[in-house]
Amino acid sequence: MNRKLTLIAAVALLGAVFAAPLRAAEMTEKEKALTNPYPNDFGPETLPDAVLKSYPANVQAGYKKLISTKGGCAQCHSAARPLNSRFVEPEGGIDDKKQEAALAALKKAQPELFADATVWQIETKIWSRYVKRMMNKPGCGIQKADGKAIYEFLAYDSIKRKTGANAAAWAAHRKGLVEQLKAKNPKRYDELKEAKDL
Amino acid sequence: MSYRKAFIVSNALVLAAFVWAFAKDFYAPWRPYQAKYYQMAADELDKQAAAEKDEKKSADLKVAAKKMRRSPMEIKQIISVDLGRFDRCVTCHVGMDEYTNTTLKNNFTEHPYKAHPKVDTALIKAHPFNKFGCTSCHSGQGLATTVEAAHGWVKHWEKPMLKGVTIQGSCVKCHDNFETLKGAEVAAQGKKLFNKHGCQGCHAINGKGGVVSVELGDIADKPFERIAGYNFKKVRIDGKELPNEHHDSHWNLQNWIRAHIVNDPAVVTPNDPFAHYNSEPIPPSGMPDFTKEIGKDEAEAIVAYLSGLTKEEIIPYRYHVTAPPAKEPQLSGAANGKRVYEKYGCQGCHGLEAKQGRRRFNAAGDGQKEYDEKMPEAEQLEQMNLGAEPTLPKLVGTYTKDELIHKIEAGVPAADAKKWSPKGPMPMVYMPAWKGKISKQELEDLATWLISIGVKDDSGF
Repeated sequence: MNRKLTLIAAVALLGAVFAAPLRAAEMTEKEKALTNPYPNDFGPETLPDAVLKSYPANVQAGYKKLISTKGGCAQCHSAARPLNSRFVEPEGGIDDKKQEAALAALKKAQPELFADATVWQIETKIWSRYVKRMMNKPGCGIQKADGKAIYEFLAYDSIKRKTGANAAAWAAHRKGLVEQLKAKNPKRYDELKEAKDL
Repeated sequence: MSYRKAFIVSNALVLAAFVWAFAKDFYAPWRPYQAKYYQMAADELDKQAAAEKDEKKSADLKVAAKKMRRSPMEIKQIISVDLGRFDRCVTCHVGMDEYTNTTLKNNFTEHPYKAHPKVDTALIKAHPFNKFGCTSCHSGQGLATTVEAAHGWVKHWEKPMLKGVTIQGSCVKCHDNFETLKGAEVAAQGKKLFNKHGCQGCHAINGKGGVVSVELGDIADKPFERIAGYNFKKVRIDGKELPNEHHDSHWNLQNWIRAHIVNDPAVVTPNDPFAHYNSEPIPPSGMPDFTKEIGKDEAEAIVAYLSGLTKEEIIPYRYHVTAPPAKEPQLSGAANGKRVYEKYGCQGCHGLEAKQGRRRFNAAGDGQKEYDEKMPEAEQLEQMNLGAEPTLPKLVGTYTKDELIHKIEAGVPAADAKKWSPKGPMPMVYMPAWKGKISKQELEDLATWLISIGVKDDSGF
């Protein structure tokens, strides 16, 4: 009996030793993100169907592109990263002045959204810059039309899900993610906090 | 065997050993060189005596010639106590022995007979042989008295004689002012090129520079055992293998440095990207391919500079020539930003003038095919080699100035890289955090310059 147990333990040990590098080499984007995580990475990688269905068709198309692992954002990183981001881009489309006006209106209507930058980071053209930045990374391969669709989704979604009547629910969700990071990876939490990147 | 017989045999053996030792010394390889030198020098004096019209001077020259012919065969050496050198080079290079050739000049054109070619220069006047010896500048094995051993072309001698312009590395050892020193122009050019191509972005020297790869402040002391696994047979200079004129003489530090510059390091050090021999894939050398940017002569200059970066040699402080750090140009705004980009070696990864990101093995890169595990390994390797660092003009326009400064300060960890082949190695090179290393004003100017070179956004959103 003891001999049998020793044999099983040895096989298990060998399995663990040889499987470890394999795991490291073939980690999913989610697993990889969690080795050096942001709070966003602890959140869901998809939107609830009910939320998605309430979005216009062109915005839904942008979402599909975003979560795609073939030629979309998720080819490089987990979709959780943009979907749970604190970024909010004011309404107004590509018109700077309209965005600035919307930002001013938001500051007046919901000043609480500007109190905690770990929950809401509201800036004009913030998603526009980020999407273009990702598109210009080597090997990204996202074409202009797809990039635009992804941007339109992110800008629309950021207003719909994170402000207005949904602001409290978003704050609870986002704070929960920050707490998860603090509990699971306190070192990384401190690092991001110090870098004002939480 | 009786005691008597044993006594006779042992006497014979002692006698044989004595004869053998005498013969070995008598036929020592340095003797013919010394004898020939004496003969050539005496013949020269005789010629001068014959041509001399003044009888007294002619007689003196004849005496000198006679004396030269009768000079004793001996091991000659220069003892430089301060530098710990005992150099017997003048045993063969008699023309450079100040006791035999008091003027240190002669008309001979061949080694080992000719005088030091720079004997009349300020360089030699500032470095008299009796104070500096030979090997403090030339390297080699000062105590040895055979050609191969003395030049350091033997197994286990780690400082073979420096060839060509690489000797200027010796100036770097003592002269902090070598960048403005006459005679050290090639080493100075080497330092300029080292910085121009951004080597300092990854390699610090005496703590100044990047932390991505090894510190080079003591690169000249790198023991041979550390380059034992280096495949010198793969190295090509002008398409040819390294010459191996003596016992493994191609296996030396200068060739090792040279090979990194005139060859694509990923070809010479391919490692094991498909994990054929290891439990995990190991990427090739992460050093970029500089072969299209740095020519052979420029590479020699870099080799010369790096050959002088030593901590091992104990050089007394009074031999050091200190110099204040070079003054930085007083620029501002974008012009200063470009200077900052070059000062910190950003071009080591992002390319000269930020025009093209360099290779980042197995990272994502433009023009790559989609990964397919059935793809032949040679093709996969080609695709992994297309992995690249970001090309900044495309990227910088997507940042605000503050975002850009924050990015540079925070750096980018290796784990953030997207691998082209999920089974391949993790892309090695990463961007270190520059916070605290680049001053606030420099960062501000760097961001200003980077934004100024950004390509116009035509994305339509």
